[in-house]
Order: sequence, then structure tokens, then C-alpha cells
Amino acid sequence: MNFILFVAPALLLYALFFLLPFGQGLRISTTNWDGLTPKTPISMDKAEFETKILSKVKRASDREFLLSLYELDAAGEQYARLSISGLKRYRLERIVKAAGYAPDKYRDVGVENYRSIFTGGVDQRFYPRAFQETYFNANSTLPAETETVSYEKNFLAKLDTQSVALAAKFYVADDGAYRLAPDMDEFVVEDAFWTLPQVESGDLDSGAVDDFLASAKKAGLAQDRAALEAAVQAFVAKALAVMAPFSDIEKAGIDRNADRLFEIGRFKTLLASTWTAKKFDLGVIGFTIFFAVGNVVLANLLAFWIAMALDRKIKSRNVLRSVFFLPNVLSMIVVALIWSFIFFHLLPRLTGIQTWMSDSAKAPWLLVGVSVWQAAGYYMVVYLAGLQNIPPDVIEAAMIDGAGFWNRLKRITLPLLMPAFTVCFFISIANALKCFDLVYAMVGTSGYAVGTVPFVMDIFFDAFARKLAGLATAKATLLFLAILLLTGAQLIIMKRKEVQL
Amino acid sequence: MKRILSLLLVLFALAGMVQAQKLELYYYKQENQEGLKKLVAQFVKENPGISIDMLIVPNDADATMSARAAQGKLPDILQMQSYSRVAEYAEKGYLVDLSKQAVLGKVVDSSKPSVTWNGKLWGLPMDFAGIGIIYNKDIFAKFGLQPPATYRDLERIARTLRTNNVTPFAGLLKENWSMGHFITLVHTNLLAEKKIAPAKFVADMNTGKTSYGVVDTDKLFSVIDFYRANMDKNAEEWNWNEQQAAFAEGKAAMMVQGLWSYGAAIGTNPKLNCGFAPFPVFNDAKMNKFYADVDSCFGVSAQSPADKKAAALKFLEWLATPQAQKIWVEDYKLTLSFKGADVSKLGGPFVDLMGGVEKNGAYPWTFASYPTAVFEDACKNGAQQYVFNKKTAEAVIADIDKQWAANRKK
Repeated sequence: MNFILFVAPALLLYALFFLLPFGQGLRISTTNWDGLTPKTPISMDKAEFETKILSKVKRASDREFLLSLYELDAAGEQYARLSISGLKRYRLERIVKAAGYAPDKYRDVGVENYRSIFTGGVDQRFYPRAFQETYFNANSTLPAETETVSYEKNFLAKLDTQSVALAAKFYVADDGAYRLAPDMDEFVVEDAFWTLPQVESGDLDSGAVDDFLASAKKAGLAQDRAALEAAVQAFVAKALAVMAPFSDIEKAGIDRNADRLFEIGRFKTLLASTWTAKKFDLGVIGFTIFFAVGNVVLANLLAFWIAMALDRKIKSRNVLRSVFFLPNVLSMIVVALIWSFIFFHLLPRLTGIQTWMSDSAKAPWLLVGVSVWQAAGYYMVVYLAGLQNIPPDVIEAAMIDGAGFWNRLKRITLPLLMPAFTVCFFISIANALKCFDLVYAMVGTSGYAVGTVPFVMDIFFDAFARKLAGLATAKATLLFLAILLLTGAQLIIMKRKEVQL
Repeated sequence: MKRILSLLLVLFALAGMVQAQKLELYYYKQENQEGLKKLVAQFVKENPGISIDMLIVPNDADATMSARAAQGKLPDILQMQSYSRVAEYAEKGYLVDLSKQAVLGKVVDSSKPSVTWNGKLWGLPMDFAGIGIIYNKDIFAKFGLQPPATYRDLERIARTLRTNNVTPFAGLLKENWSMGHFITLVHTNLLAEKKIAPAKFVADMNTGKTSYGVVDTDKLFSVIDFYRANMDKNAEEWNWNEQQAAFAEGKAAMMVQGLWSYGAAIGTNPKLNCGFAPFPVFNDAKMNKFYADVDSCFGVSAQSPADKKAAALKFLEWLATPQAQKIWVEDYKLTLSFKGADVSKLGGPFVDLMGGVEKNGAYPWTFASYPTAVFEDACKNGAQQYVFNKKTAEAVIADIDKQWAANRKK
């Protein structure tokens, strides 16, 4: 009776809602599916349908079944079927597969997806890696000002004395930033050519200026003196063709500004090649581990600490308990909105530090912080319940025996609280590894640029942005196994340490 | 008891008979949703036998739609992005071939390529949209500035604005799509400099004959750097809301955006006086054109039952009627692809766009023809990672080439 009432429905539901989808997932993870291609054609040209599928179906009943689903359109050109589901769909898939038809983007690739994950074959952003941040592109214009810390540490500190002298001509320290010297400002130097009277009057085609500046810049970057002189000569020749000869002063001005462009080119090359920094990107795997470890450790520590504090007889402790639990009642999206607001509007004003969530050095920590803030309240309740389950007489006996706070904590509270630790660790490990909504709402699509993409978000991007549903499913399967193994090991180890009074 | 039951049954049967034909319409354009709702309400009013459920999926629309397609549960009517999305869904057989529908005959020929795959038409092209510089006319007037005709003009405008403590561009770097649009905008411009037709470029990429770096990439990334340098210092923290607010409040004088965001800005500040100009990549004014193309279209799901299909086609047919066009323009605030459509009510920037395109032509939205994964990942994330200093220019190009090779369209 018990079996029919309780066990059988449970098994049935388990099979229906876990085993079946899981099996389906496993199957998809061995294909190169793009997430859109249907396994069996929805519509197909008549001839193709007949030769590729229909003629290869052996059993008459199967053929009949096919033709009951696929209908020839009015023009007699195309077979099409409506949406089907359940056993019908399964049968159709089997027949079509047996006929040897497989769409290009829904092919069996065996364990290829898994192999590429383990051998470094998937996108490099998946793995932790060292890379170089470059702060300037030689083809771009020099920034009007540069941030002091990075400029000094990653550029000036690497230069020899001669180069330092060159840099000093360009950027001058001024009130918290390095500012570009006005006479080395490319825009101003270029303006000397754009504002020549014959250009402004339209006598000299603006294309001539454009060409000249392009070749002068190129010569500057390559430090090719001859090319610069050739460019100047060509420009002067074009200018002379439309107007009276230059005065000596005008000619000297052109030469001086061409020289400046040359000098700017020299500095740009130096800046672009030197102003870099070696950085480390956690990658998807690294960030997921960082996030999980940070969460499990910090959330539990904080929760335990609050629980200890609120287990004492302080006034308003019930109010405090609800206050600490409150963040857990909020939906993750609301939490994300609140903290995004704090990081964008509040903290910059309070601290004067402008970048928070977009700074890849801070963002992982901030995310862990927010997540801990949200989760700790829940674990606190579990720890509180555990603490209240410890019989007061045991504590009192220890106190009479002269055990101090630390001794009581170590020898009585912690061992008796072990079941609570087991539960909290189990939940926090699983939750942290599965994290998606908080990061998606706070970082969104800038995840790869900031370096805060958790495993599940990467799966999401694989499936829907990169159109690699097969690979995404393989990753999801691996994540499932990882969570299963980790929490399983954790349960076994911690269960062993639990004691009974 | 039995009598009540049978009565109920009869009632249900009757209800089923008079029950309207229920269609599901999915849309992704989140601006001016009220306009589309009004349009649908009007159609339902005129066709009592049909009711339409509206389903919006504003962000990651494709994720939801492909998930529903895979389950065989696509909505009956779909609003889709032109080109790639249409081709993708058509290729997999999810769409009804609309080539022979009368309503397609009312569409201007120039917008048909956006819904064409394999020589047939799979969608009803609707709004023509442009990406360019939306600028605040009042701020421009205050500093005596004219809309930029050349890149040098733009540099000069940015310089003037900065010396007057106005942020030149309201940026949006926290989300990756804006830089994704921008890199392809400049890239498509630069293709013209090399005299490569965008369609030819995409075809050659698909056969592996060319590289994304076929254009002047030095210029490509210097324009991106120029754009970034003239945003707010903190633009990496900005998303759509901050961008729109900064522009609507006049803290920034320009934004590089599609005209869809004009509606949002004007909603925040109705007094905003805007103009629209192409983003000038070149110093030769003739080369600077709007980056404009058919943005969205409507398609019909091939998997809907025949009667629903017929009702869905009726809706598409109805969209071409004068009163539908009127609601589309006046309430939905989008342009139209129908012949002889009157868009004069849309306001200044739209007039700038249509006038500019009529006079100089336009560069097509090449990104809409890239393989989905290339635009969604390699372009959007690549350009954003470049701006965040995480990737070099060479690496961005190399990754686009690599991903394109992996996603070649046949």
C-alpha cells in the first residue's frame, strides 16, 4: 500500500522530470546542435523528401505514419508538417534517423564536446589565463589626460632616461592626472594645416590635407624621415599649384608642425608598446571557483557570527534577526538592482572612487559581497536553530567546570552544531556553483570584458549567443557532475564528524 | 446531476463555437509598446473572429524564441530582426513562404532583400531604421555648431564641447550591443573606401576568401578610440538608462544610436530638440552616409494550424491598410516599408534620416547578414573587450575571422 501511495508516484515523477530530461540532455551533449535546427525536417522540397527520407523507409506502416504527418502543399512542391509532441515526435525521430537523415547542425559528434572542454578546445575565455592589458593603440589620438597610477606604474617606471625626457614633453603631472601638453596635441597640430587660408577658402582641396596628414602620421609611426619629407614636399607642391608662393614664415610653420607630427609618432609608438600591464583573467572556471569559495567561506562565517551574537540575550534581538534575514526574502533581481544603484550612484559620491562594477579588480569581490549579504541571513536562521537546540545544561555544566568561552565554543558548540554546518555548506556550495541571476542582472553582457562570467552564464551564452547548444549541454552535464561530486564528498566528510549527545 | 453535466457540456461546446481564433503575436521592440498594442486592438476590433495574445521578450529575444522553436511552439506571428534572423528561421523551416501574398506587393522593392532567403520572401518588412548621431540641436546652437559632415568636423565639435564642459557622446559601454553596432558601422563604411560591396564581403567571408581585416583596421580602431575618448569618463558603468538620461537632460550633446532611442529620449524630455546625422567616418563628405536598413519584419510560423495561419496572414494583410499605417506611424512611431507611406508625422530626426537616405543613399546593416554567433559574440564582446583594454585590435579581428570560419553559412 505504501509503495503504491508514496513510492511509486515519487519514482514516476523522478523518472518523468529528472531521468528523462537528463537522458535527453546527455544525448544532446553528444551532438553539434545549434539550438534551432529541428531534428526532423519541418518542411522539405518534394523531390528531396522523397529521395532522402521516404524512399529509405522500409516498413509500410512507418511510411504511412510519415505521410499522415507530412502534407504536400497546394502547389505540390513541398512537404510540411505541423508541430508534434510526445510519442508521435519520438516515433518520427526514430524513423527519420533510421532512414539515415541527419541535419547538418544536429549531428552526432560523440564525446567531441567533452574532449574539447578538457583539452582547451573551447573559447579561451573559459580558462584562467595570463594576458596583457594594453592601454594605448598607436593609431589613435593621444588621450587628453591619463590616469596617474597606471601611467606611472605601467609606463614611466619602465622607461630609460632618454625616453623619460621624451614623455615629459608630452604629459605633465597636474592635479591628480597627467595632462597632454598643448603644443603636442595632435588635434592642434593638425589644425595648423586644416586652417591654412587656402584650405578654408576651398582653393586647396581638403583631400590634399587629409592625404598629407595620413602619410605624415604613417611616417611618424614608422619614424621614416624620408617619407615625411616626401609628404611635405608633395603637400607644398599641391598648395603652390593653387596659390602664390609661401612666405618663409608660412613654410617654416609647415615644417615645424610636420616635425611635431613626427615627434608625436615617435612617442605614440613608445606609449603603445610600453604602456601595458600583465594581468590575469580568472576565466569562467576560475571565477566560478573564486565565487563559490568566497561565498561558502564568507557567507557561513558571517552567518555563524551573527547567529552567535543574536543567540545572546540582547534587547531587540528578534528585530535584529528579522533585519538580517530580510535580504533573503528579496528576489535576486531586486537585490541586484539595489546594489547596482549603490555602486553606481552612492559609493562614487561617498568615496570619490568612480569605477566599481566595471573594474575587473573589484567586480568579483563586489559580486561575492552582494551574494554573501543576500545569503547569510538564511544560514543564520539555520545556525540559530542549531544553537537553540544545544541543551543549556551542557553549557552550564561546562561553565561550572571552569571552561572559558573558547573552550566551550570548541568543545561543545561547534561539535553539536555540526548538522547545521552540514546543511549550510551543502546549500551554499550548490547555490554558488549554480549562480546566474545575480551576476546576469549586475554585470549583464559586459561579463567577458570585466571577467566575471560564472559557469551557468557561460552555458547560456554558448547556447544562445554562440549557437553551440550541444557544447552548452555538455558543459551543463559536467557542472551537474561537479556539484554532485563536491556536495556528495562534503556530505560524507561532514556527516562523519557529526556527534550525538 | 446528469442534467447539469450535460448542460455544462452544451455550454462549453457553444463557448467553443463562438470563441475567437486565438493567435499569439511575439514582439521584441520594447520602445512604444503602447503603439503596437493599439494597432493590435484595432485589428481585433475589426475582426471579431480573431483575438491576439501579445508576448514581449525584449532582451535575449532570440534565446527565448529558439527555445520555443525547438519545442515546436513558436508563436503564430513573429516580429523578427531582418536578414540573418529571417534567413536562419526560414532555412530551418520555421516560417511560411510569403512570396505570393498580396501584401508583399505593396512593399518597396529596396526593402525586400532584408526578408529574402533562397529567392523567396519570408517576412513582411516593416520599419526602416538608421544608426547614426542623434544630436541635441539646442546645445549645438548654443556653441554655434553645425551637424558634422566630415570626421574632422566631428573631431572639432567634440573638442568645442569638451572645452565647454559638455560631454560629447552619451555612451553605453556596460552592455555590449552598442559597441557591436558601432564596430560594424565603421567597418561597413570602411568597406566602401576599399570599394567592396557589403554583400560581396559577406559572401567572401562565408567562403573564407577574405578577412574582417580587409579594411583599414588602423582607422577602424582609431575611430572606436575617438568615440570612447569623447564619452563620459565613467562610461564603462553606463547602460541604456544612464545614456538616455544623460542625453535627455542635456549633459551630453550626442549619442550614437538607432533612431529607436529617440522615442525614449523624447519620452523623458518632451522638449528635446533633436537632429539626426550619419556618423562621419571620412573626411570626404560624399562618403558619409546613414547606416540604415530594414530593422524588423513580421513572419508567420509554419507550424501553426492552417486556420491560424490564415488569420495571421490576414493580420499581415491588414497592416498595409491606411488606418493601420496611420497607427503604426503616429503611435508606434516607426517608419514603414510600404510604397507611398507617409512618415511626415514622425518628427525631425526621421525627416533627417529619410531625407539623407533619399539624397545620398545609405550603407546597409551588414551586421544583420553576419552569422548570428559572429555578431553576438565576436563583434559585440570583441569590441567591448577592446574598449575595456582586455583585447588588442589584432586579437579582435582574428577572433571575428575565427568565429566566422566556424559558423560559415552555406
